[in-house]
Amino acid sequence: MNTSIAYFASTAIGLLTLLAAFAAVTLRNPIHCGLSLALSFMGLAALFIFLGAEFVGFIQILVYVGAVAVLIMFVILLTRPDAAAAGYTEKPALGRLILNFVMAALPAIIVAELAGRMQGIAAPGHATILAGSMVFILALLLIRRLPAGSTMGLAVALSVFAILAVAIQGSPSLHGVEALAVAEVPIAAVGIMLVESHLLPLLITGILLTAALLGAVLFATSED
Amino acid sequence: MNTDHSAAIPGANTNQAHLQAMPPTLEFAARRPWLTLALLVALVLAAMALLVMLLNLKAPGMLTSALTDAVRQPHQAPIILKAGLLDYLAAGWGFTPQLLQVTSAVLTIGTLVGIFGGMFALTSLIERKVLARIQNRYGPNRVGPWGLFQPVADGIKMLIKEDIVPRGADKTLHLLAPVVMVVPALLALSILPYGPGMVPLELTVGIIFFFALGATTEVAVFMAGWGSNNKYSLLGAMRAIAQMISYELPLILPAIAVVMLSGSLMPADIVNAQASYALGFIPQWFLFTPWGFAGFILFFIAAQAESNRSPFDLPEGESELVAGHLTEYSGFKYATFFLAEYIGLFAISGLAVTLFLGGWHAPLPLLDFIPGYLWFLIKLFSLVLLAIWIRGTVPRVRIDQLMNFAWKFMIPMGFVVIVAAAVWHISGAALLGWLLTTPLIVLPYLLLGRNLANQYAVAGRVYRYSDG
Repeated sequence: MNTSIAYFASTAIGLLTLLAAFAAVTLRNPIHCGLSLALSFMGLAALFIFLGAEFVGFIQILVYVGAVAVLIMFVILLTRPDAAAAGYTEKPALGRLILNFVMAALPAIIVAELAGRMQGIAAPGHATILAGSMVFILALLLIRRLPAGSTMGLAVALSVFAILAVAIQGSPSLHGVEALAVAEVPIAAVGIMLVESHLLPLLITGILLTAALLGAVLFATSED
Repeated sequence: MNTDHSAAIPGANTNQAHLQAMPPTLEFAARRPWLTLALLVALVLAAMALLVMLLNLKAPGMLTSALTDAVRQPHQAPIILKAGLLDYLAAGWGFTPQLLQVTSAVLTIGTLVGIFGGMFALTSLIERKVLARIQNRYGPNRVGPWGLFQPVADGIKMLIKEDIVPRGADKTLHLLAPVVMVVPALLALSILPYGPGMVPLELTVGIIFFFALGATTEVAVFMAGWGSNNKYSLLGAMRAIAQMISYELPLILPAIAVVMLSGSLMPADIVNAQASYALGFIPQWFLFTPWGFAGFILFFIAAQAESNRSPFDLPEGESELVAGHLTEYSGFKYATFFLAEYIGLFAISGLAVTLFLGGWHAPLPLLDFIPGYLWFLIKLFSLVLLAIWIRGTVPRVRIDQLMNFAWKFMIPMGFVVIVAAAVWHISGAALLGWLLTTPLIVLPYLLLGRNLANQYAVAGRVYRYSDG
């Protein structure tokens, strides 16, 4: 493909994905948030397909847009979330916001260090984490609302962000679009890898999902 | 759409009176339908010949030679015509390679949309006609000979209807829903193998692409239901999504069995795996294996549920929900939903043909002279007719029956089909395979069916006073 067209297309898809993701956390109407999330999943799938990973891209649409996003919207509909009932406070004080973030960023930095050492690459630098925190603060300032006990959730979110940062640092995508133009992997190879070298993670994921399913059934039936 | 006042006029006299009120051209058409059709065909052919002659001035002979080649080799006609037209554009009009690429895509898309758009119009008429016959009525017979122009009249009616958006509606979602609905339906047509070398979009993961598109339709239904701000719409949308999620699995499981045995996710490869004939005349379609037969029936039932057709049309069950998620739609938006529904039905029938009915291959070797793409369309249309027949025959199911049927019967049977396909593969797809897989399918079918039927076992009604 023409490099300039490829560059333009990937940038456009990336921007759309980011915009949709941003809309998903900032929009007021929970249904709109859910739909924006679905759109950002679609954008991610488009990026996958664009990079030659068609299988992953379509599975992303099938699982995330078709199941996860629809499930999220179903839950929103059935529970009718209410900002006041969920313990949201309007316009938190700036001091409390910053304290929240300092407490949340500390475990995230530790996670980033550990993940970096395990991957055998230089830790992503705490600047990345701090930049991530700044984006979060900015977003929350824009929405101007914060759940009551949000430190724990923020810590988890930042830790996930840190792990992603480590993963991105180790990926060839930092060396330009050309480095990503790998030969197409046949799906048979993916399948063989899943049942040979990656069998244990596959089984563990299966057990995890079964446990989650059983837990859901337990919650749903314990009332009578 | 389905009101038919014509059914109440059986007398010939009223018929004649009606004819006299028509404009003279329509009257002529109604009196001599075959002659009208022949004249129309001749007119179209003459116009096409004139067009070819006029266009040929730029690069004489190129188009006509492509046409004669296409007539000589009907099996490859679409490919030859397209290549000829592209060559002509490059030679006569100086199209650059980039422009040719775009033109090629536009030609393919235009042909698909034209053929399936025409089929949509035809099917909407045939469906009403067949349903009318099943219900002992005439069906549409006022517009044109045998009501042939009814789809045109319907289209004009839809276009000039007022577009009403409820005041409390979420305007953006209300507008976007039909668009989001029709795009995946049209895209799904692109991976179907219409003939040898006639796959518009050759993807190594074509089957997954198809199911991924089916999954995005749920979002559109949700948008329609929620954006309308109407309780019937929302209830209908929630029913539709619950139904689509439940029936997605029984749709995918038989497809997995087919993918396992053909060893490819590419639709063209799957069709080629069913190419040969046993004993010289029995086609080796997956339909004619024990697991394939069960798989096809599962797939077809799940396909009816996925495209919200009777007997699974609860999402728009008029007796309870007005029209479900379509309640607040009128005019062109409603027509778009209608189109998406039918295109979706064509696409899923096309996938069934690809997976189980041997795609473009003829059912008998001696029928090979009919081109593959025609066989594909014939098979596809037979499945659509089957769906119409079912719609006219089976009453709508209840929501608990729908869910029980999906989760307690269809999905376990889907897994059984996968196991049976594996056994069939290991045992060598011959007599031993038949002996092993047939009980493997029949026994679970009987057990699951009995289990499900016992749930609805009704005790004999006791009449307290009359039985004494």
